Amino acid sequence: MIEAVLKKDFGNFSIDVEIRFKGLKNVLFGISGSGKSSILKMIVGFYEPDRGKVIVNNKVLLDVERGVNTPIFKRGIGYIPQEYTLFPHMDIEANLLYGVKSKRLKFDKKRFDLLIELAGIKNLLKLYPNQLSGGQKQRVSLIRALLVEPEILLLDEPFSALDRPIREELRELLSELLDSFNIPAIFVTHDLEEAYEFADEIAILESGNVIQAGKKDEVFSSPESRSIARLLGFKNIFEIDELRSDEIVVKGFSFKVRRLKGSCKFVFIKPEDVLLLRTDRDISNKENVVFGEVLKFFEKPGSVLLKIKSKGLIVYSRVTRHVVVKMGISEGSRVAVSLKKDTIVCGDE
Amino acid sequence: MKLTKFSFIPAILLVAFVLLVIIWGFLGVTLSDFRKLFLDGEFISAVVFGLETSFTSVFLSCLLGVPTGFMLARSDRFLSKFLDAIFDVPIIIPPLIVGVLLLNVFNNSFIGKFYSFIFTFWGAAIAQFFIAFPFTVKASKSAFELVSPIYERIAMTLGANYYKSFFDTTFKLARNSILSGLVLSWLRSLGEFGATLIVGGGIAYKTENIPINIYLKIMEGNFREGLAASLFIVLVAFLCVLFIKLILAKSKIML
Repeated sequence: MIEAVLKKDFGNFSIDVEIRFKGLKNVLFGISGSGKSSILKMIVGFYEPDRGKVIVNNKVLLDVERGVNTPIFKRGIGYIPQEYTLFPHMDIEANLLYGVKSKRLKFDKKRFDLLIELAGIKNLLKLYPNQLSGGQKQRVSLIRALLVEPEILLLDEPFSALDRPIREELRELLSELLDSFNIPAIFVTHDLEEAYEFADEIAILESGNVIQAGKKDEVFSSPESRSIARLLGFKNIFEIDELRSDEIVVKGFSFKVRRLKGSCKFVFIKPEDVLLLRTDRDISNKENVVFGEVLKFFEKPGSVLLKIKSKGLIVYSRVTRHVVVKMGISEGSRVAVSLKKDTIVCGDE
Repeated sequence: MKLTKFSFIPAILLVAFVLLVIIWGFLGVTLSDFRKLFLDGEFISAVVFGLETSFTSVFLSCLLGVPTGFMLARSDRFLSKFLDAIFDVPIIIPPLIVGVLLLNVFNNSFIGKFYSFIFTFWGAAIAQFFIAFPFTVKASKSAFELVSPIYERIAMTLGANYYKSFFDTTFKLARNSILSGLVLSWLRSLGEFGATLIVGGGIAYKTENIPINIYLKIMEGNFREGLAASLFIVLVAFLCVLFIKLILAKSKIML
């Protein structure tokens, strides 16, 4: 359980957030410069906020108004940034044991052996950091942080400097370790895929403010505003011209919708929820069918994003490569897509 | 590629110039000149006085200069630049003039009431300190700047308090560069002439250091002895540089 209420004015930028995470794996998500790193640094204690408090597992670590400010070394917060932070003048074993010695913890040989086994760093103990690869360095950093049994682990894009396969391996390792040792974590990232994969709970940040927070599935399926929808990969964002109880009008098209909640100025549909229809079959029973022309193809590994134009409307649909090949779609093809009622969500400006 | 080949020529010329001057020096003396030098009581006394004053100067530089360097490395840019400019002053003023300025201060009757610095050990040591400490400050500043503060912060998240985290990480990582700055300060103090002469007076067996001894030898017409003493300083300087290169190479491997 982590609660952080933080206000800080940096002159040209300010942070004003309330973050509450109850889960194990929590993500702070936002573009670069949205204040994610600064928030983590204030929670660890590298910066002090102008006002606010930090409460971790019911312990008040910081309360500016009441003059509570636990020093960094007593907060019990592990911190792993993107940069490599292994002490260059100590071998890996000394790095790993630094915290245990500093905190005068009883050395738990079993836990140590288990952790280095899990992380696959057993045979690195006598090496120095400059002899390790980036991935190995971050593995060691992770284990070094876990060995002092922190209340919570803060990770500031820890794997962004690594190559993709190594990044995935490390994300899996992190996830396994947090689960098996039951240590909550806040993971900062600007990578949508990483956020989605890691998070139980997520808070989305924009220019120093939390713009939406909650359980991952809720947030990812119903963004509250246009900017959140954009961040979460909803490529289809349409302004609503007319709103009726079960129908909306967008650029002259009327779409059936279901249970639109909250204030609705825009509708959002993920490109993967825009289904490509086979026109050689009966499509009269399909919902919200749009006929259009494929303007452009954007290839991604394993999938293709189609940009489809129908009169004034541009619709994005993500389909597998296989479908594209099988249906013989190319730029200029005429296609039909269905915008399923259930996948249409709405939100504010 | 062509340009690098071309720039070899001035490089070779410069190396030849340095080597020629030094080798020429060694050709001008024999072993017996060195033997005679170390039997010369006045020279030995100058060596002892030189060592004592230079170590005092370096000790004071270390005590005040290293923390100052740390402060400059960690403080904001404006303050750091301003103070840095002030510490350039002792470096750019010619040593002889530093001596004159210090003499002017020590001549003050108010200071004279407490201690008479003129023509004494402490006068000479302080003169050398004034000239040498900026090197320590600058070396420490760049040494601390080279070490990212992140190590210290991480050490704190691992439970080390403010002092322990600093000494275990930042200080240990900067230590060798600081040490080489101190060696340079020491060498500078050992070879200091102008200010030491003006403030200390260059009194034989009392406030005479090696450069003053060399100067006096040459003025008295003992050129070969003066040359031998000069080459002694060259050897000491060479050993110092060797030492610095060694310890710095060792710390480069880590960083």
